[in-house]
Amino acid sequence: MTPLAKTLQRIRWNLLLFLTTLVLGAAMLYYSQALLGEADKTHKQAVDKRGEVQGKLANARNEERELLEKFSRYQDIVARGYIGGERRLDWIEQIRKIKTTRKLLDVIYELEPQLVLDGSNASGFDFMVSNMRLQMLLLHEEDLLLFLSDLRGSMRAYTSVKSCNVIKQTRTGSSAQLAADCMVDWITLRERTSG
Amino acid sequence: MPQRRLFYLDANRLTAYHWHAGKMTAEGSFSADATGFDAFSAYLAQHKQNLFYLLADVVEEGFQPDVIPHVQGRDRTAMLRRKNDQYFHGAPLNLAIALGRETTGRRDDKVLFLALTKPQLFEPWLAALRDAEAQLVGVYSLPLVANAFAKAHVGRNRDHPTQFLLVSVTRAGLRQTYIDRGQLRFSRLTPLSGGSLDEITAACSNESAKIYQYLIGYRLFERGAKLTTLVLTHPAQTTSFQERCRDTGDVHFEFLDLIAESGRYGLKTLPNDSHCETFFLHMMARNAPREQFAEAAERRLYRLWQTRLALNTASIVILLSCLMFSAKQLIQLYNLQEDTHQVQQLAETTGLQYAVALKALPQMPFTSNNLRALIDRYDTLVKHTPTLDPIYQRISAALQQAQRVELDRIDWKLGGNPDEGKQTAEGPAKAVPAGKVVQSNELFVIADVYAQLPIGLKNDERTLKSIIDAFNAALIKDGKVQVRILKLPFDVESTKTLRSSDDDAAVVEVPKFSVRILQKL
Repeated sequence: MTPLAKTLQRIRWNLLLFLTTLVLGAAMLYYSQALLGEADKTHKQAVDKRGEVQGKLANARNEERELLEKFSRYQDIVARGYIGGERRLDWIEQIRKIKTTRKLLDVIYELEPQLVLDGSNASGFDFMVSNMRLQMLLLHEEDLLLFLSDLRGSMRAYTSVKSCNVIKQTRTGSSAQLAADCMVDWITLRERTSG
Repeated sequence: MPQRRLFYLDANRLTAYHWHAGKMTAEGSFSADATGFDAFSAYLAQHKQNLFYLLADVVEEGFQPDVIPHVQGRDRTAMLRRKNDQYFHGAPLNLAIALGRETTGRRDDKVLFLALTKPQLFEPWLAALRDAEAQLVGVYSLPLVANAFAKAHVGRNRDHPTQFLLVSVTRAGLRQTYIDRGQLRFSRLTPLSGGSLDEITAACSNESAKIYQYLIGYRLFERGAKLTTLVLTHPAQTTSFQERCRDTGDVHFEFLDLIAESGRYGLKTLPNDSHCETFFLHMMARNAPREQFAEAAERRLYRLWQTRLALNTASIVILLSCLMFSAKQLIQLYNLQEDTHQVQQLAETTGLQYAVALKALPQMPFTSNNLRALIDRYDTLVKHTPTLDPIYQRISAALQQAQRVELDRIDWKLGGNPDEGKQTAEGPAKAVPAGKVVQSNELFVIADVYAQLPIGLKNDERTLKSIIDAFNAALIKDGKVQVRILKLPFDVESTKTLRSSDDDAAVVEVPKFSVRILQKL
């Protein structure tokens, strides 16, 4: 037996102990590190989730404010009568009433069939439009402006003037100073039915 | 830790002590004969796993100072071995102590060669140790241990002379050790026949005077200087020493309290008289000198023990370190899990708050997304539905500025193209449906204004132009609209008849112009 072999034999248990503690220590380190890593991962997930929920909550509060405001606008639209079917008789009566009230000379209108306004989106509502050609004889241009203002304020439809030509009258024998020829959109909202 | 057992060897016998934390217990005294050796072997057999120290206090010890070339490594080892063999041939228990380097010349190394010159005194004991496979830490001589003590003493007393003689009494006799600048230079043992106090004190006085001459003779001490002699004495015997050891012109005596020194270095088994062997044994066990006499083969088992100790210590250190680190990790883990738990609870609470907040939202007949889409669509519609009023007010204000302009017609419409052709007399431009407005990136209010100017200015283009410019300037006064001229009165159109103005029959047209007002929505 060589001296080295003799020496190794004498210290074999110590060497074994050393190697065992080395392996044991490494295993402990590895296991504790793995546990910590796993816990760290769980912690990060929990923090992320907390952040997500907090973000949702903050958004919910903003959302609540936004929706309340929009809902109020919606209720205003409902109150103005823009939602629902056309009420052409009401409109005609209202035009007549304005004409009488404003003492207008002549008001001729032509209301075209209702169409779906293109560009409608995923609101659950269709924006419906009826084009009206409106011809009027006026003493003053203010008559036109007041008439259109009355239309906006009193009609159960959203009115949008698309064009309006006002021409100075030169004919004799008429008190009318101006002739107006306008195109007005009468817009209402119709809730879409499913299917 | 293994037990430590210390052997004190003089010329006649070996005494074994058990040493533990400064406590010395004499366990046996073995004579240097066959009976003693056998008893010693039996003693060793009882204490196999102990660590053994051998302290030799014998007369046969050589000291040989020398200088050698400054070499290192194997060459140095070989040279030292050769020198030792040269000085102490046949003495395996030898060593060399480096004393520093010379300050001049080649700066050679100063070396003190030492040897226990009578190996037959040691061989039986060492053989017994070998046979018992005892873990021999080393073979030391008393001067080596005394030197370590002297170094510590000088270190503690800075004003103490650096060259002095340390005198101690042991069972073997009177030991005189000469120390020069913290280094052992020479030592001598004088056996005492009786060992009475009177004999000891007389020897102390006489031998100090003799060794002074010796040191002078060998130029180890400067002639004329006073040699300080430090005597280790028991306080009960100090007076006797002082009476006998009186200062001379060459020697100055100082007495060191053996009991106080023993206490200082932690020896709990205090000497009863001035004999110092237990004190030096304790000093050896407490902090063994680096240098020792035994050959490497004698110490092999001790080296193995050291290796085992190192392995075991390393194992424990590794295990403890890993345990501590793992414990730290586990504490972190625990804290992290606590924190995670809190975070999860907070997330849960927040989730509940979120659910409550969702429930608090207004109950609507349709989804919130539909509501958003509806209102956004409606807002776009409103935004793209201007009234006539602002443009009319703007034209009215401009007419106030340019009073000679007379309005003929206003064509107002919404359009995406500000350059589209003017309207024909047949009717208004086709309305742009509200939905289409959204598809265009830009939408404009377009108002074409047709007007005329006084006929009297027909031939005054400059005035006409200035009136039209003033009218236009009034229209764009606030910069919110653009104005483009569509037609000027002095444009000559090839499709119409043009006659001179002084011709009464001529058809004279009223000067007319038209402009386009554009306002971006």
